[in-house]
Amino acid sequence: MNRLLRRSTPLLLAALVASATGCASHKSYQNKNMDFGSIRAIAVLPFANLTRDNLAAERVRDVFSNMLLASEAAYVIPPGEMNRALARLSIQNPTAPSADEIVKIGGMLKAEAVITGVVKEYGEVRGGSSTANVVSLSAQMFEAGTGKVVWSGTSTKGGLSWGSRLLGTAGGDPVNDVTEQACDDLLKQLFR
Amino acid sequence: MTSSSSSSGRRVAALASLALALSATGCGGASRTAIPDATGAAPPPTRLRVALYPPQNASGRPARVKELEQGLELALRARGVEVVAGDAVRRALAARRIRYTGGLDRESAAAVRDGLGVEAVFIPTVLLDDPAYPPRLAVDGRLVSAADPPAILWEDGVARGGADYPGWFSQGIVSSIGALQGQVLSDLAGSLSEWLDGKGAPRPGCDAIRPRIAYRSRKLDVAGLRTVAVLPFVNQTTRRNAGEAFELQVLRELVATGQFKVVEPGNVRERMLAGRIIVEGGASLDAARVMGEALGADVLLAGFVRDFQDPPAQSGPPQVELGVQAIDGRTGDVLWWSSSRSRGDDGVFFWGIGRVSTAAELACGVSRGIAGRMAGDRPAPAPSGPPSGARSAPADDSRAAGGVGTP
Repeated sequence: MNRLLRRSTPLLLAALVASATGCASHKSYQNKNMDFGSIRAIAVLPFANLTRDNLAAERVRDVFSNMLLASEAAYVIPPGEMNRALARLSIQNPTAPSADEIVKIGGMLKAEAVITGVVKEYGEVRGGSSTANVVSLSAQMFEAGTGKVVWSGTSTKGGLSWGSRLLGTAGGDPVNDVTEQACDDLLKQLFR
Repeated sequence: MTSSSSSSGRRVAALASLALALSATGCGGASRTAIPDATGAAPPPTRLRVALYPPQNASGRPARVKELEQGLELALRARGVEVVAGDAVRRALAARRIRYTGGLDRESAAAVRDGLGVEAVFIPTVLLDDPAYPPRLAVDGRLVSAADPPAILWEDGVARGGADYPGWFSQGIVSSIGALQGQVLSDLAGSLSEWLDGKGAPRPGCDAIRPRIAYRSRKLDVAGLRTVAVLPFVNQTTRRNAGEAFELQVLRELVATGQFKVVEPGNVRERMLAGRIIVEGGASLDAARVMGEALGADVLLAGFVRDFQDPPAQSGPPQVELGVQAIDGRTGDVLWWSSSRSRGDDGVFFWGIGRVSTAAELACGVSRGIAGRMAGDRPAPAPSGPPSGARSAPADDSRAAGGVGTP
């Protein structure tokens, strides 16, 4: 019994460390029946902001839209045109539109898909004497024709590492770098 | 006096004159002399007659606008530029009830052309004026033809901190704002003078900072000069006039590429007011089409300034962040979309070497990176001066593109 315990202790420790540091685990949903190749134009709606930084949602949306366009997988409707459509359709809450509203937006902008998002964390987190930047966001893609969710993903990047907790260091990556990592992760989930 | 003592005296005199000459010419960038002697600089007969507009304050805080205007007038005169400035310009503007001096629209151009008899207007903008030790100053200048429609002929800017070139034992530190002002304005006037003589292209000394993420449409590769209208940048910072300050930098760098013909911001403003167009959240397709048609612009450029910080010296590095989108004026397609961000200490590895002291210089680097990439990283054409016959016919399309040398 003692020998078994001695042998399994390192394994148990490794499992504990892995669960404490949080192995990057993201849950995403993708509609199997959706033909993502048919999407040519995407409208990215303003993201909901659940952080203290007033501009967080705007910054993250800009980076996400830019990376999506730069991937050349689809055309992204410019934000000015998007704002005009939202004003014309008198949509009260553009961060959480109804299925009808999504169909209207898609029709007006001639977009095959509409993306909404939520920024949950943006900026510095503290743990004892150590600090680091973290960005957490989730996004959903709706089919503009029906208003149904066809993809959903979430990503969290940055935060305190085990080493920084141990040594009490401050810093980590700049928040913009972490934002890019999170958006890149989301796009990987989308194009999986 | 013996011959040996007289020869040693000559040596001492020669050494002293050498030292004087060295101190006058200045070793390194920080110790440049201020306004040069005007006596030897006779204005060439083909030079333009220029009206100096009162400086715009885009620094977001109080600035010594009057002193800078006087200093700039002196510096331009010292370089042999024929300038109409001060009360004469104010009277001419007041007679036509013109208040906007940040650009030149058709009406203002006609007013200065008829009222002052000038061919061009020099529009200075103060981007930073911080007299606290070490002082920092950033000034941008634009020369616009008083034609119909007005066109940008030349644009340059100088941003400098007193501690940018400390030198050995901090001997190069400029501690007074007056001395720094002399250097900055002299450099700006010198750049204009060189351009008027056809000797050099306006190009402020900053390194290009490439955008972190960028989309560039292949449509931008189509040969031929494109006309770009830069819409007023949306200011999302807490600093006043950050949008104008960044817009000028982007405009200047676009002109400097020689690949784009940039519409004078005064014209853009006039058309936007006439069409009651607001671009609060970016340009819509309708706005792009209307502006594109009215200004004859192929590309509409919209920008969002998210950060433009010039913290007090020694309390932290400056920071800038900019999002830029370019839209095709005819089809409404996105041609360019980029996100850029930079801090003053990004290039520092040790001892503060490579530190940038002003947000204006950072913005210059970011703008150069954007403009260069938009232009497809093609080299700028060879520098040339104002087009021939500028006096007789100050307005033509080929000149508008070119401040920097479109033939």
